[in-house]
Amino acid sequence: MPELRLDRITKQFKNKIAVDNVSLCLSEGVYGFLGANGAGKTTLLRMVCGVLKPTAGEIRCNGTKIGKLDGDYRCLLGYLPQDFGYYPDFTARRYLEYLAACKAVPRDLAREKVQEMLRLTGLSCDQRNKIKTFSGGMLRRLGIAQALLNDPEILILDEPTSGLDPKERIRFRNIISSLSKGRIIILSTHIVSDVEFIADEILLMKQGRIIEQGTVKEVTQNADGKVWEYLAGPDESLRLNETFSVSNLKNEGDKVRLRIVSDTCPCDGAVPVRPGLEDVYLYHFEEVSEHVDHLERRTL
Amino acid sequence: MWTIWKEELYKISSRKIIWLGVFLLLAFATIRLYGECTHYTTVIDGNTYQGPEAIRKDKELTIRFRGLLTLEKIRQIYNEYGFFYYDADTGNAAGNYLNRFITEEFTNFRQTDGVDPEEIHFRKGADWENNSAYLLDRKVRFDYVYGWNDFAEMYVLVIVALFVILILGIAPSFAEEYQLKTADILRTTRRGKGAGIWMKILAALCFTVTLTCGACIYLWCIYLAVYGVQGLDASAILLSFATPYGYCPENVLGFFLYITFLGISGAILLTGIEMLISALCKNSFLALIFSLAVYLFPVLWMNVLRFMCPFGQTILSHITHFMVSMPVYLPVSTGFALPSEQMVIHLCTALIVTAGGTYMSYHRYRNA
Repeated sequence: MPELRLDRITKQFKNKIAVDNVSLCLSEGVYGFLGANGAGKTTLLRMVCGVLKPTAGEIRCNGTKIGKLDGDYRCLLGYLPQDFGYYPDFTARRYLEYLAACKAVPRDLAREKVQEMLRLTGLSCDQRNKIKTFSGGMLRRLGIAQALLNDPEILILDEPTSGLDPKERIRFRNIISSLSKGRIIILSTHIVSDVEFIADEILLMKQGRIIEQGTVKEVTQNADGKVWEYLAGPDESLRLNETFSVSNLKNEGDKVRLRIVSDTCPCDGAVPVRPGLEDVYLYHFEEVSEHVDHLERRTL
Repeated sequence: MWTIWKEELYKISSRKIIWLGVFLLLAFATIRLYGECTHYTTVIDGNTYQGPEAIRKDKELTIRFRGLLTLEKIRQIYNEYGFFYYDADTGNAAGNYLNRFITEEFTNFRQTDGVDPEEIHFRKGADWENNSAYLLDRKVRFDYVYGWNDFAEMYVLVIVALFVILILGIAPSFAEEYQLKTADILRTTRRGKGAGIWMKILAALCFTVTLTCGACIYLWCIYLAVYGVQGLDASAILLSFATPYGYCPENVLGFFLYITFLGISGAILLTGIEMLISALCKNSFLALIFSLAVYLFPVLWMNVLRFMCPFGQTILSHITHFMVSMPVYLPVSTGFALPSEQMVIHLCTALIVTAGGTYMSYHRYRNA
């Protein structure tokens, strides 16, 4: 079982620091990287894949630098990039067979593996169709199929569910869950529900840094006392909605039930409730309206 | 590995524009040869022949005079057929292959307007020594080479145009991977940062060499079908494309094998350069434009820039030789009358550029 160790990884593009001094140790399990667009998730994952070289720091796999392992490291790797690239005129099967060859899957095994992956991702019936005829969901599934071709021990999926409808998203989650045994799966997303139920560990990224790390339970526990529920009248609900981060808003008769994320009690009568991962995400990433800048916000 | 090579070849060859270009080019060559053949005219003993029959008659006529070219043979041809000229009224050629050859090579024909046989006379004195004597001094083996002269002209045209088509095919090789965003996936695979890149380069190389050989073989076939094998053992300096001053193989067959070799060398060099440009550009279209500019730059240099060059003669000469070693000129560099040592230097330059371009493209793509 591989162990990935990231030691003070930094990536700087001209004047912008995309990833700032990130240190992590990853072993078997599903790791969900959550963060807003531009948080540095993709840059970090590209460095883990060896596509980008860090400006500073090093990545080691089982104690050896990945640059030194070179092809042996890539043998362990399955990668689905954020912008999944494909050849429009290739058929799904041809594309997978080509990538199986690139991944050095033995020829006899490759055909078997391609068929297995096509079955797993529900693309068997479309294997002879050109990829340019595929829908967004089919493309993502093809992306997952190619990432799994070499039975990778380290599976890196960057925004794998973007553009998928809810049914496809659930299907994808189930595929990932079924694969999680004996692998490191790194999943980057800004969609909380993608990782909430399947990730063993959540890593929140903001401005190139890991600001929170732990199991869903640990991460949400840290937000205890920061999430409130309050039944407000229409005018009051409007005011609270403008003043605080509201993670949910539900009409109940002539009143509105608000779920508010705030360090302090937002108003008299608000009751603390158990936070969810979405509340934690909102706590960290929701931009606060200008007129409530005076409200002091602290990190958890 | 075989699968990667095969798929890389498929990626290149699935570009329809290449096949359209090749088809149009070879169709043009065929139609031009057909036109040349049907309009071919010869006048023998007052009888005018046209088309394939005229070619056959000229070939038969030449058989009598083939072999070592001597003054006696020239005189005999003149005595039997006179000088070649153009009919002033119709503009048609009045003559056959034999008297046309002696008129063009041994008389002042090119200094006249070619319509008055009275004006035409054998060169004399220094004019003879400078422009005609070498054909007798060099013990030239004479035969019917009209078709092979045309072949040489067509070869130049086809190679220059074919290289443009090859650029369309191979310039996107690496750039397309960046553009389609497949580069990231490929470079995270076991072979994607090593053997996979070499397979891509090898596929491009195989494609360019195969297409160049294919085009040459096609040209050979159509010219052999029309003109036959006669003249292949004649001296190469009978061809207007071959210069007597630089390196030139002994016979016509040797000459064509030599320029075919130069054509293939040019195709390999083109691949090396294209691979580097493709690895440098993140966009296929940009790679294509840049490639065409680099391909045609030596033409610009030879015709414009070298006359404006501020450097001294030595640097200018080195740059010019370098330009002549580039793909646009290398296959046709026999026309530059270069000695064999210089040709070896040009081929070595091409080899170094190819190796350098290929190596740099590998590293550029691997680490981009």
